[in-house]
Amino acid sequence: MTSTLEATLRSHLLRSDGDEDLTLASYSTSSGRSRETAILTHAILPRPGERTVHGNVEFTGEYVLRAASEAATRSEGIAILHSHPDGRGWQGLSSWDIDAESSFANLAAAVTGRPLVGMTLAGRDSGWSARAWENDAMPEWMESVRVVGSSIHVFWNPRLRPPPQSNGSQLRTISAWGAEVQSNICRLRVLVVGVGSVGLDVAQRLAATGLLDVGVMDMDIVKDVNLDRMIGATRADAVGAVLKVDVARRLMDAAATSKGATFHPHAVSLTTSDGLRTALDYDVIISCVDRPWPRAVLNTLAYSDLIPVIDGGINIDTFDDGTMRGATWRVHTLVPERPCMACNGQLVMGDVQLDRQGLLDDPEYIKRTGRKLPSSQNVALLCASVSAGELAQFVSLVATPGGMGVPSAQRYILAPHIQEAMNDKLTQPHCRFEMRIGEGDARPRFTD
Amino acid sequence: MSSEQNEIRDGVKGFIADLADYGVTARAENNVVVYEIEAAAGARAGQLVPTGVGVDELQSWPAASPHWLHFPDEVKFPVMNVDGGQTLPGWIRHSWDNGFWTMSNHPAGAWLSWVRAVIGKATS
Repeated sequence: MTSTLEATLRSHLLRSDGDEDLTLASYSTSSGRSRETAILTHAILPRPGERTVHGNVEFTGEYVLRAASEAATRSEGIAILHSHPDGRGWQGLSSWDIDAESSFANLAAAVTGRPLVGMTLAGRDSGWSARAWENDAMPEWMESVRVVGSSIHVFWNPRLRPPPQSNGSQLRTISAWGAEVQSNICRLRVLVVGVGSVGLDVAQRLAATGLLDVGVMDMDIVKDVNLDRMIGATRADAVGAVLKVDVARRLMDAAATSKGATFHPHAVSLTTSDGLRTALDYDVIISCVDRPWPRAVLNTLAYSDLIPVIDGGINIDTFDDGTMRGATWRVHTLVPERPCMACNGQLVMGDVQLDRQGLLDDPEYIKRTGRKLPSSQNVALLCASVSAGELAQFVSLVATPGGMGVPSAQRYILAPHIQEAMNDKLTQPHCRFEMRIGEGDARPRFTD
Repeated sequence: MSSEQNEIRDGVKGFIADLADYGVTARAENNVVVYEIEAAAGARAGQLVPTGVGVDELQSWPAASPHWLHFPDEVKFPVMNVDGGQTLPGWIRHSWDNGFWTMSNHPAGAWLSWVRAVIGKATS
C-alpha cells in the first residue's frame, strides 16, 4: 500500500483510548511469475452503526457487504483490518480473529471473486501482518507487507522470510545503519534491469552488502565493445559470447557476504509478458537501461504495482572534432510521492512506439527522418558515477538516513562540476501512469 | 490510489471513446481505427479528410500515442516518409514524429490537434 493510505488506516486503527478497532479496505491484484500481491487501494471506513468498539470490536455483515459491493465495482477484493493495540511485530490470530475473518471469507469471495485478506496492525511498533483466506478453513500467511512512499518499509513474516544471520564480513556495513535495518535490507528482493557498465557494478555491490535475493535481467551477450566498461567481464566472456546475466551471477557469487544468498539471472526482455511477470516478483527495481520501451514498462509498474524503480543515465557530449565537451548524469526514484519519468521529462513517450517497432535501430528510417542515431559514448571512468548515484538513492529508499526518504532527481554536470537537485515537476493532469496508483494487473499495457 | 475513481480509457476502446468526447466518431475496420477530421488549412481546408491509426499502435493509448498516420493514397504531402505496413486497401501510412507527446491535455484533444496540423500540410 502507499504510505498515504497506510497513514489513514493507522490513524483509524490506533485509538487514543487503547481499544481495538477495525476497518475494511479494497485491494487490487498484482500477478508476478511466482508471487501474487494484494495492493490496498481504498480505505472503506465504517459508518455509524457498522462496528461497535468495547475493548474489542464487533462489526456487521452489512458493512462487509457494502465494502464488497463497492470493491466489486472496481474488480477488486476486500480486506478486513484490525488492531492489536498491545502487539509488537508480526501478529498471529486469536480464536476471535479466526472466527471473525473466516465467517466472512465466503461472502467476500462470492461478491468480489477474490479471497478475503486479513490484516493486523500491532500498536506497539505499527507493524503490519497479513493473510489470505482462500476458503473458511485456515488462512495462507503472506510473506510480507510493503508500504511505499518516499521510502519503502517492509514488515516481514519471520517464519516465511526469516532474518539472515549477520557475520563478520558485514560488520562495517551494519555499523553504518544498525542490525535491524541490515536485516530488512538483506531480505529485500531487488532486480537490476540491464547489467552493462552500470548494472554490473550495482549488482555486485548489492551482493556484497548482503542481500539474499538479487535478480539480474538482460538478454544481451558480452562483446568486445563492452570490455572497457563491464568491470569483471573478461576477454574469454566476449569470445564465448557469454550472457551478461551469467557474468553478473558469477561476479555476485564472488562478492556475496550472506550465507545462502541466491542470485537469479533472467535472460528475458522486460518488454515481454514473461519479463514483466518476472519483474513483479521483486520489491525494488534498479533500472540500468536507456531504451524508451523498457523504461516505459518500468515507469508503469512503479505506480501500478508500487515497486519503487531507481533509474539513472549518462549523456556524454563531444565537439565536432571528437573531443570531449562535457557529460551529464542523472538519477531519480519513481515512487508515488515523486513524478513519473514521462512527467519529469526523462522518458519521451513519442519514442516508445519507435523503439517498439525497431525504428530507432533502423538506419534507413533514421536517414529518412533526419533523426540522429542514439549517442553511444560512455566510459568506465564516468559510468561509476551513475551507479553511485543510483545506489545512494537506494540507501535513502531503504535505510532512510536521518529519517529522510529519496530526494528529488539529482543531476551532475561534469564540465563545471555542479551537482543540483532538480525541481520535481508536477504530475501532468492527464498522466496515465500516476492516474490510478496501485491498480496492479489493470496497468497500462506496454508489453507484447 | 486516490479516493476518487478515475475513469480509465485504455487501448482501442479508450481511443474511440476519447475521440467521441470531441464529437469524432471512430470505428475499427480490420486492423485500423478510422475516422474523419476537418482540415483547417492546406489543400484540403474545409474538407472532411479520412484518416486512421493501426490497432497495434493503440495498445498503450493514452500513455503513448501512435506514430503512423494512415491516409488514402490521394492525400499527398510535400515530404513523405511512408511504408507498406498494414493498412486498408488504397491507403498508405505516413511516418510523423510526435516526440512531443505529453499528458498535459486531454489525450484526444492533443491527438486531434496533431492530426489536424499534419493534414494542414497536405498538398493534394
